[in-house]
Amino acid sequence: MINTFIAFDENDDDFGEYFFESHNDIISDFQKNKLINYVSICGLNCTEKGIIDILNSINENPFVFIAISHGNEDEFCSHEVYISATNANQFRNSFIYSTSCSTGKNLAKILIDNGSLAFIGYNNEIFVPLDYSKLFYTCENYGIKSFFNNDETIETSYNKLIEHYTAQIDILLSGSMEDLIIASTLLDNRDKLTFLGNGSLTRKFFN
Amino acid sequence: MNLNLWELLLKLNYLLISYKMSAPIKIVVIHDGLIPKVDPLLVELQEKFGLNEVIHYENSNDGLEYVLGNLNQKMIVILDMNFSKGELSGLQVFENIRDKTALVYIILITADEVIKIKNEDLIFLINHDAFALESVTADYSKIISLVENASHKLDARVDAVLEDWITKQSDEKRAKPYLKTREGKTYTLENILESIRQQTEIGKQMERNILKLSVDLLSRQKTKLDD
Repeated sequence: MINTFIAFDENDDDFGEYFFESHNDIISDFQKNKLINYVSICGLNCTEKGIIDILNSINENPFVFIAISHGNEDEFCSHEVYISATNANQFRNSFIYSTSCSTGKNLAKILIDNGSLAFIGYNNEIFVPLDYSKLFYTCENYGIKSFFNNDETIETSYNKLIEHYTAQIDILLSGSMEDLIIASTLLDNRDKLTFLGNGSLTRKFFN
Repeated sequence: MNLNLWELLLKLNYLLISYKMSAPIKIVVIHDGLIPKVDPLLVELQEKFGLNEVIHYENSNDGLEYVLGNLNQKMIVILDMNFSKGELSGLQVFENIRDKTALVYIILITADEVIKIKNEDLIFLINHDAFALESVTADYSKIISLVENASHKLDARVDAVLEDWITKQSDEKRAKPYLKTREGKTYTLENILESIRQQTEIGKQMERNILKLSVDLLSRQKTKLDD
């Protein structure tokens, strides 16, 4: 079984509902996949201590960590910081898949330097047009779903994530002026994607 | 040609054409040295841009009031530098317009030699995108040509197209939260409109995104052709 943790901050004032729906989008896919043993970490438990307690049970085995919350260049945040340089060593042997803003800028390298195997995330602030929430979180989640559903490398999943963004952009181009603006926002988010670490690993490595 | 690229080009073309046709450009002349209605400059402008599209104000305060009250209208302002005492100077009018929007092109005209304009005033004009500075002469063709040039540029500006699209949305839609950053900042279309006019970050970001989209499609098309 692939040990997988999904941290999501459903209590956030601005994005709680978005994070909740994004989490549901992922687990509805995971529930169909017998290879995955997932644990959802809700907002109240997204604390540094909460994360340490949960990850201690892993005993250095490879795992996947998905973050659906706010973030910045140096930290993942819920009502408090829950991943930063301080506890980066807890993520040894992990593949981190982030939908948070900017965590790909500094923190991703710190995590890799501390033993994380791979990181997919965004290296800058990302935007969400409110009437198009579903489109945006399904794009954000596409790469991790593809990784778990196929015998493919992390690098392939990353490339497929970019291709999925592009395909959605192309669909929007046949719509209205507003769709064009949404397509340009989606493209901006796509171009903030970043990947670090070992791209050759597949889900078998984590199983 | 790739269908998506073709569609995008058609759409951008359509948007630019509909933007051009959506409302004609008003030419606002704020100048106290022109003879109302019959001055050759006004007559030439009316011939080029239409009788109802050229508006002349002799009083700079009135001219400024019109411009600020009609920011949803595409405008080019021809602004004299010097006005009578008690009225705002051309520079003050320029400054007041720039406080509200960067999307109105302003052509300044002066009876003085440029060398007589204060250094700091010239720096201010250049740093705040004065479209042109021209001396008043009997030959108005230079000014007409500048207005035509400004009119062409105004029709081709992505930020002006975005502004036009936002101004066509209902008041309700404009006041509703529209875009959020994952860092928690929320923007209504009204905020975005203001930002486009003030050339602040979110407005510039949206403009960049549209341009990036066009470049992305063109480069993808090029890759396909190279293959």
